[in-house]
Amino acid sequence: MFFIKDLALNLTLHPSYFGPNMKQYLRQKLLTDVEGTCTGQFGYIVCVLDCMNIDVGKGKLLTGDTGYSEFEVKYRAVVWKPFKGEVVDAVVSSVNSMGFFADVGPLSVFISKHLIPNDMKYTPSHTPPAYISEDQVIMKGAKVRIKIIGTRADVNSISAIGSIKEDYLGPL
Amino acid sequence: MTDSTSVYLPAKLPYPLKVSKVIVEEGDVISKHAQIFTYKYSDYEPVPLSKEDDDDDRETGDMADSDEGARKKVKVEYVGNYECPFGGRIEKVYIKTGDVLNNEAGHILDVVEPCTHPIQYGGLCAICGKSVDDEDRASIPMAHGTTNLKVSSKEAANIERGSTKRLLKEKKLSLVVDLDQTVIHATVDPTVGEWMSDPTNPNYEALKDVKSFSLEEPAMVSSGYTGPISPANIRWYFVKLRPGLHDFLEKASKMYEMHIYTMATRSYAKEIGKIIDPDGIYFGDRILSRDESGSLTQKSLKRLFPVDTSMVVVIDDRGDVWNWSPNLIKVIPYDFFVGIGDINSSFLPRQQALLGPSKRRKSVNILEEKLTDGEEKDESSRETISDIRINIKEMAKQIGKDESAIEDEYESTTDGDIKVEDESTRKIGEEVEKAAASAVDSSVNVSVTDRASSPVDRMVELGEGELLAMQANERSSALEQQQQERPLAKMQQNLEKIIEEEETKNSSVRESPILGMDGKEPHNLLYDDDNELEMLGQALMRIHNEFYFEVEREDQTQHAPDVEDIMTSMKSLVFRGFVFLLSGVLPLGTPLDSADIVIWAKSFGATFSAEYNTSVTHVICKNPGTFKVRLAKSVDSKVKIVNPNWLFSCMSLWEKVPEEEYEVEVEHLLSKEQVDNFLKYHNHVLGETTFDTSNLDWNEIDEEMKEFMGDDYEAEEGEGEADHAGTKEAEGAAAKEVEVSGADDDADDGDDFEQEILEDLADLEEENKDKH
Repeated sequence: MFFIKDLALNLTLHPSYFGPNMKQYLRQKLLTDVEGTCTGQFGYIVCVLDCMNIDVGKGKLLTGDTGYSEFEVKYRAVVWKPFKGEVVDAVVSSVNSMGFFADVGPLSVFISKHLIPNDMKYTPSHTPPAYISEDQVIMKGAKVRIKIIGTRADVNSISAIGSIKEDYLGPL
Repeated sequence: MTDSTSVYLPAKLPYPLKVSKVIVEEGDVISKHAQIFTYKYSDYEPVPLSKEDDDDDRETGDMADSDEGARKKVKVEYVGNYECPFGGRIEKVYIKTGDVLNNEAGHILDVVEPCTHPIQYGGLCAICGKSVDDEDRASIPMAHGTTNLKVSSKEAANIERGSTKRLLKEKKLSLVVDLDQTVIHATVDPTVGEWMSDPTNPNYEALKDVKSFSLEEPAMVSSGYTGPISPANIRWYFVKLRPGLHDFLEKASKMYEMHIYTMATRSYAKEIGKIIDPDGIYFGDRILSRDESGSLTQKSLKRLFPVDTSMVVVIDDRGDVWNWSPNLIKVIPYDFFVGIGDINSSFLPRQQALLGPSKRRKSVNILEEKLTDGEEKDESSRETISDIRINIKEMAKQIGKDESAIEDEYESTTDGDIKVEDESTRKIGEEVEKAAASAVDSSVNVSVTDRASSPVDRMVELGEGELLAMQANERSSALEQQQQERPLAKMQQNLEKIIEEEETKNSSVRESPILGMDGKEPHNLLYDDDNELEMLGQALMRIHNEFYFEVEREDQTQHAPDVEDIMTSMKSLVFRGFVFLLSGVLPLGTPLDSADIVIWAKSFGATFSAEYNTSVTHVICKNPGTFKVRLAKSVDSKVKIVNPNWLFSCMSLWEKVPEEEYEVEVEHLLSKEQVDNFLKYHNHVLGETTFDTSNLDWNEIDEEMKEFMGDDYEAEEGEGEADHAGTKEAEGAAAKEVEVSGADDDADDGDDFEQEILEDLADLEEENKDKH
């Protein structure tokens, strides 16, 4: 599910960047640092919004003799967090005898063969290997609709388990 | 899920326990960590200090009689309760109130779980989606591309049963294929790129179908480095496919389901996969790389086939990484870029001498022999230096040395490193100019002791995190070195020198030896003359046929065929009844049983003998001048003296090929007298044990030395004589001992004798070198 979330980040800056373009540089650094990353707590930071209005607070010189300073940057971002029970569309990334992996954007979801309808059989002789039933094929690159049945969030990664063993799920 | 899980007590409980109350009943549905029963147990505890006086009054004997100074202990009774590690419905309870449990073997309950979590992905059960803490339940990583996906042994067996059934139906077996030096040869030497774009280069023809790709690799960082991250460097790889690879894959894919198993990185393996199998027909996604292998130094079939390996064949150019598994077909390493070796095995133990048949062209062959000679020296020095580096780092850690001091020391070792390398390259250059005849003998004398400490040994001592970093660094530094030193360019130069010399010798060749497309003497270093895959394909076909022949017979015999048995029995026929003696093939001091070539040939049914005896059927040598060869031929004229290439062609064809083509002429046979002496000495054929040194023909030995040394020998004659005198005395003494002690020591003495001669030679040679 997508959310708009107010977030903040502390950036440290080398003294050589102090100057008129500092704000712009901080924005740039923010974008490269957070966009596309994953936090277990909020999910994936998809996109930083309000690029021009990013609130760059006052800098603070860090103690010590390095000269680095710290800025707290407040920003809003679109985040995506997978939830148990959520139905998502995914692209199959690899198929093996135990099931298949499907990518939902940045998240890789594993669908085990126990959660694939029984009529879909693993067929490694197909090129590329695939789960095949009479009228459906799941192979690398195929689009599938899956239901997330479990997620686990670690500090900077999320793993998820999916199922296609329900009505209206499976290859699109 | 109808299977029940048996619950046993953990080992860490304070046995013996007395069950005081069973809380659950059969049929109950419990959640995880629900209480099953409470128990009582007793323990001895030191008496609390404050109460000590009271205790003295209260305790009645059994505890109080310990010596005065120690604190007294009391028997205390505790209660504890046991929680069920799984949730589910209780099917059966095996304990009742009042039971005394003495050890962890007690069977407590059977629980029917809603889900046994047999497949887990990233800490989640892949079936019920619950987060799973006990990862022991599914511990086998079976998938090719990831180690996150794990299955329980039960599930693994299930999956394998399914795939076995499928393979049998398709009449296929599994084939695990190694990449580097088995089906391809890769290098990062940029010289190749230059040669490829230069049609006038002598190697242009051979390089026509070399493929290249680039990978972005993170820059090398030393541990503890915190500065800004330098940008990734792009490294170009040049890949030569083994001749006939496409046909091989095409044919093999009909009989085998193929997997790639490589010690290279995943990105590298993927790129190679794209080159050898652009449509993904042969391998599909079945690529297993170092990133998922689980071990840095070993490959294991259990990683891909945890339960059943009876239908798996492996092809690899290295036997040691597979621990010489019976499923392995060892192939001759594909060595197209001469002297480059395997770019992805820098952290594996160094390969010993004699890996494959010598090159067909004489000049390249000479060059290569020089190179191995030089390489061994170079390698040993390089390794000892990196050893020193590590030692320095470790020392610094322990003592907390000043940073700058380490830096200095590091610097100085690095300087030494460069110097050593320069020296050895110079040596190679020098040696190339020498005559070819002494090549084998000089390589025989290279000491092997330094190589004992391989990078692996060092890695074992490091922690896991360090280990990975170190391994990555090891690889990239090896590649870096190759990129900068351009070994191929140097070799081409040396090769041209050799050819030039030969051409000036053969005055019949009039044309000047310019880099030639003139078709006279080919100047190309790289030469495409490998036919291993063709033979390998035949061997694979025979295994396949044999296996399915057995499968058809299985109905009668009730005995499931196993590729291991089939291969072992097929292989052992090749050299059955043969006894081999190696001479001048392995570096001196190499234990016979650990040499690759020996293990390899033994798997084909051969036996090896360290010293000559009358049971020897074949002597394998490169140079017919050695003592063993001449002795063998003199004693028994039926002994076949063959080039190592014979061994290799037998082993790649899986059948004994006629020796004639590979036989080596022996020129200087030992005299009749010497032979008799030997026989007397070793076998007591004539029943005498006296040994007379005066019978030894020292002139003969002198001559032998002259052969080795060339003209220089005359100059050293004086010192040489002195040595001889010493040897003679020693030998005489040894002979006397023989007279006294009799039979048992004889073989050893013979050994000593030859050893001494070789040592003398080594000494002399060193002296010669010093003079130069």
